Amino acid sequence: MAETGKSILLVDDDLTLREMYAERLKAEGFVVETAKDGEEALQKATDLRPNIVLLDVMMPKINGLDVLKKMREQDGTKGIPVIVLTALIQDREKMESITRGADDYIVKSETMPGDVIAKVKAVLEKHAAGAPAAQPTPETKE
Amino acid sequence: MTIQEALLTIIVIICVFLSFISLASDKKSVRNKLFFVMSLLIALWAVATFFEEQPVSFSIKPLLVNADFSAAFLISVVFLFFTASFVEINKKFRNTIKYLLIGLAIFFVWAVISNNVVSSIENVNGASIKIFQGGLYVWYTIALIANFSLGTYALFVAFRRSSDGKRTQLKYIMFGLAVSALVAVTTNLIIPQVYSVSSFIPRLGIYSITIFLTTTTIAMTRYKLFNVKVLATELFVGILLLVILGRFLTSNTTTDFIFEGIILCASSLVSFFLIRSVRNEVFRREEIEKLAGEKTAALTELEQRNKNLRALQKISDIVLNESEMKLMTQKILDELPKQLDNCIGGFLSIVRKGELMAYALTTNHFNDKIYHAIGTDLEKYSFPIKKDFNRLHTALVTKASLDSDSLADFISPPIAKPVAMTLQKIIGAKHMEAFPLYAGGAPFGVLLFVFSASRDQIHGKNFEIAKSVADEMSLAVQRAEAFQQLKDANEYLSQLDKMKDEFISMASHELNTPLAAIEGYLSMILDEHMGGKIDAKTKEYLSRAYASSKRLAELILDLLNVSRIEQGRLKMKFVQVNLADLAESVIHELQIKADAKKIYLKVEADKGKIPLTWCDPDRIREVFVNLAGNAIKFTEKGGVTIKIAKGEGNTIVGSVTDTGRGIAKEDQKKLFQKFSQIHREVDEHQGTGLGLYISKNFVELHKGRLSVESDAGQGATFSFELPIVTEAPKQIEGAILDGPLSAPKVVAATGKEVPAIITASSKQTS
Repeated sequence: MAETGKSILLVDDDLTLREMYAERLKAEGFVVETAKDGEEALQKATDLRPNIVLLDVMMPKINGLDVLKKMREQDGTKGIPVIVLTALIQDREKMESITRGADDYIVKSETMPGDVIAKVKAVLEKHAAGAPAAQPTPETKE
Repeated sequence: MTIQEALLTIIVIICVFLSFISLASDKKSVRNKLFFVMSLLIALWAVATFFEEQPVSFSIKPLLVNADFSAAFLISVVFLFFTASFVEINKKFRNTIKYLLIGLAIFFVWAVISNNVVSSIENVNGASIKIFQGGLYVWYTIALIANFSLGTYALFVAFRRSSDGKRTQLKYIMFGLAVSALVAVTTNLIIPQVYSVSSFIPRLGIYSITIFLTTTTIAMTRYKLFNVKVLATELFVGILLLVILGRFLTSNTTTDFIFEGIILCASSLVSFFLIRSVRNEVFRREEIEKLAGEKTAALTELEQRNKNLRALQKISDIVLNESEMKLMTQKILDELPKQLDNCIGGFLSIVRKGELMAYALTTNHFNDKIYHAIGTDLEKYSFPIKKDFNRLHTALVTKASLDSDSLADFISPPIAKPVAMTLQKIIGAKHMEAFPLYAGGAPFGVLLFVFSASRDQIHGKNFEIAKSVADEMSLAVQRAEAFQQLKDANEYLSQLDKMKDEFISMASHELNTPLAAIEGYLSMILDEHMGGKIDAKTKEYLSRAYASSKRLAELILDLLNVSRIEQGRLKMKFVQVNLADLAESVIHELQIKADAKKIYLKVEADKGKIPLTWCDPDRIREVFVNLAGNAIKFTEKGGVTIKIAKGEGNTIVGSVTDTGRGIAKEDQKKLFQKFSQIHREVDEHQGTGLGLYISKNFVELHKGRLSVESDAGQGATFSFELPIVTEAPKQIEGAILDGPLSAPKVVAATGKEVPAIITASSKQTS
């Protein structure tokens, strides 16, 4: 599916990962914007209103969860789908709390850039179909 | 012989007689010795005074006057010593007074002998004498009166503080003293000086003194045995005998002399038997009364003990139920007025940083006033520990319990003395007892009890219980402090622990981020339409590099798990699940790998027949993943079957069977060890070598057993047996039970949520 013109905001504090994901996403035809911390992410999400946000949870200053919470509170960013990037957390309850409010999540160490593309596409597709945001919907992958 | 002569003889006899009775009744008693000396001095004084007024040679009269005045002064001094022995006086003070009095006695005896009290005498009517005052006469009189007054005051104080037998005893002594002193001072000192000559009233001092001597002797020798009947009999007989003795001594003719002598002997004999029989009867009755009294006393004592026991019980309860020091000591202090008679409250001070510090005070309406007086911030009343600062310090430093009737003794300084005295009046404190609190022989605080009753009342009933409370408090405070230390240490340890956990999760995050980059880029190169075509050789190398980084990621995860398992720090969360659901979720995760090798992967489980059990679904799922993952690795043809079934007894058995190459018997033992890889030679079978070790530990943490059945070339079956747990466990041996045990979650029970995380990734990885 061609994603030409769809904008994506990529938020990660790690430069290497940010560049890697950006490159892979650009290859798919996305217009990629990046942010290195929560503050910048919020700013850009508000200003640019991207089609989707890829959001790292563990970040200095404002962490990903706070960004997500604020985005959901603001009118302009409320409806933007968000996929959170997280380290593998064995504690399921903690995982739930992290992914609450996101459209989907990606476990960094287990997910290759190819998977990220697939997940981004899936979320966008679902969003276009009018599925409500703010609920993780992992089952749909089955 | 004149009547006066007879009386004098009788007095002297009585004095000597009494003095020896007193000494004989208790040879060791200082008080009795003093009385012995006093009686002899009185005899001497009586003789001297008597002959002053007799028509004897004028030349010996100065000698008699000196003896009279010296003896009188010595009597006053001994009297003071004697009466002071009834009152408990501070030892230091007592010694000072003792030397002062001895000095005074020596001085005035010298003054008398050197004619400074009486300068000269003059003959009056050939018998009487007139005394001319010397320079020290007035001082002599003042000192004499002062001694007697002080002595009387001492007796009065002793009388007021005493009870029962001692009280009766003192009553007699005082009665005798009052009568005789009144008579003596009036007739010997005042009247002769006022009217210059004792013309119409004779000097009666010497006779009246016998009253005091008699009552005192009775009081001392018959301590507690007072009885009106005996006394009346004795007095009656005594007077009768004295009259007869007087008649005998004054008889003029031989006939009279013999006659009176016989009467005297007969009366003495009859008197002796009379008194003896009366006394015997009284003794017997007193014996009975004494026994009855003892019984009552024993009952009272028992009652008191019961009360004390109840009080201690109450305080022990507080100590056992309250481990926080401030709260516990406060509760004990508040309990004191309720449990101890006449107790207003308690005040606890404790050594902190080398200084004694006010710590807690009973809260009641009395102490509201104290707070009002000193302000509510008790803890500012701290002071360095040095001797004699106040009595609380003394108690602490000397490790001895101390008492006083003055609150100021204990709290001044730092509280100003007038404030302390006012305070004492306001709260109605009469007596204070301070007990040092010990820990291992070293005092660390002082508990002060404040009572609204006198020392004697307190000492009878409350002293022991107060002491017990102080002991209990010592132990309690020690315990509370130890508890606090333990709590602090625990807090510190759990802080460290938390920091360690944070470090580990941080470290794993930090390790995983670059790994994700390595893997990501490798996957992008391998995904040829991203980075362009690569030749087969490069692709092979990169694939190996990719596999290695995958392995590294797994290794990091496994090592984290191993370290947690080995430290018993693995966090486990128990929920009630159906193992069949877990197995299903594993299939989803591993299906791709099986598909890639073109082998089957299936679950055989009759879900309806498998009982639910409490377990950590993440761990058990990981066991399945490890076992099935291994099975897929080592199987080239056929496939892998996961089975869940009810086992023997109350167990569930999960097993993974493959149709692979099997494991030789000799290799099976090494299987479950760390880093054991028996198929090392085959590249594609690389793993961390920790999977089975971790699986085995996970199963064992569930009190289960993991075993293997196989032989070379036969395929292998790994099976684990878990006991069915029907209730949420309270604790797990060798792991930490994490989180609240809430009701089982639907997601966990259906096992759908967990695979979703991984399935999504694993499906699309290859």
